[in-house]
Amino acid sequence: MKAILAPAFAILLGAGACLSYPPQSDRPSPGKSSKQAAYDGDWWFSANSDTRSGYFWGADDCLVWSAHVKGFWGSSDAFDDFVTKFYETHPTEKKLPVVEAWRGATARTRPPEDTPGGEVWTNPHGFLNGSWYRQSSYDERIGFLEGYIGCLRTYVKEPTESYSRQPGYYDDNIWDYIDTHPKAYNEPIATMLARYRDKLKPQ
Amino acid sequence: MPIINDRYYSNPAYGMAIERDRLAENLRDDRGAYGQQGQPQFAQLIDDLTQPRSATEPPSPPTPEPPAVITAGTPQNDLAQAQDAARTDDAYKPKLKSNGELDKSFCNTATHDIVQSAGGSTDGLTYPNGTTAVANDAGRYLPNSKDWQEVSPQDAQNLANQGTAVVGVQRNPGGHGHMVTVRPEVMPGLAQSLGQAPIVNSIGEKREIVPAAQAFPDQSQPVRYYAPNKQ
Repeated sequence: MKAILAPAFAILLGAGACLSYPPQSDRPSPGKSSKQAAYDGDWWFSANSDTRSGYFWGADDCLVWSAHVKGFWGSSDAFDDFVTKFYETHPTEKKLPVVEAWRGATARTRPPEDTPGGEVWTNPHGFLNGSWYRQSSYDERIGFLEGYIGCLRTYVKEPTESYSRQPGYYDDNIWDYIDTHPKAYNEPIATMLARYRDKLKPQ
Repeated sequence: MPIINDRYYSNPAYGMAIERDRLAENLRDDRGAYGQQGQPQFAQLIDDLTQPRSATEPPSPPTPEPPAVITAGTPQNDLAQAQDAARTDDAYKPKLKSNGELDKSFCNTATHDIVQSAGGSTDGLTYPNGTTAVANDAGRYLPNSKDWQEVSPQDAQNLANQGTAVVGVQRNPGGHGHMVTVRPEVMPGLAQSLGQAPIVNSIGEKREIVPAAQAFPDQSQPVRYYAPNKQ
């Protein structure tokens, strides 16, 4: 396991050091984040099940559609089990990011079997849209934003957008946006979130 | 301690006198001139009501029946069991494929299976070839099915409370529709009194028992409810 994860972790650390993010927001705000959260084992065990579930969906949405990274599968329940077991059996790797713990776990399991029938979502981001958002608890929405934004910061090589505020700021704005735009129930959360990205400073 | 006309008196003679006067006064007010015309039926009534009775403990109220929805063998319980089985079935969990994409949710399949398990007709829930229709199509088929009739949200809850499988469906012209079954209540009438009826068993991106307004957050499209057509 370590043989699989150690290089990935090293790549992550290296990527984090080399990434150059776009300029941050041009105006201070009470919601501005002074320190980026580390989504690692310590964070994992402080998060409740709704937050973890939201993190699963948010991280996956970014990994697939923005970072174009493969190798993650499962359901939110399985993800919770995978990651919890990983950190419990690897107590010295608490600083490993959650996504890497997930990657390590899925490497040892088979993808879930397909269930026949159902509603087939062929559009980008699938059902992670305004309807999903409005059905989710606050913790699950915050978890989604943490997973999505955390992935953008770490796994997208040349991010075209940055988010420097606390997740609650984006949650408020997305919630209100859906309230006032009925078509937003079918709009991807990622698209709505991008409306509130940091503004670039004039060069 | 004797009871006279539903009141307790330690002295029966005193109590009878007081109550006879009280009743005579009331009857006079109600009927007019009691006593002067000597109506015997009223005198008999006063005699009956003012006979001292011994105070005894009132009979205990009957033990309430357990709610039908948690009583095995009732239609309500059968419906709830079918809903619980579908809601907790791993097959209906939204999952990521091996490439990480999420591609399916199962509101239509789960609704079909619950209705079938509850003995309802699946006409309107399937395509002519027998496969399960997506919610947008079921929303078109159900109004034209001879086996289903549209009911109000309140009737949907009332029927579910009797163990009838009732389907709620919302079409979505801009994307995927959604469909649910109505959940029988543990305390029938509670959701209505809270303004939350009907309560639904929702299996899709989420799998939960919630008020319909939560399962169908987009209020721009109507949610229609269909119950089995008895005719």
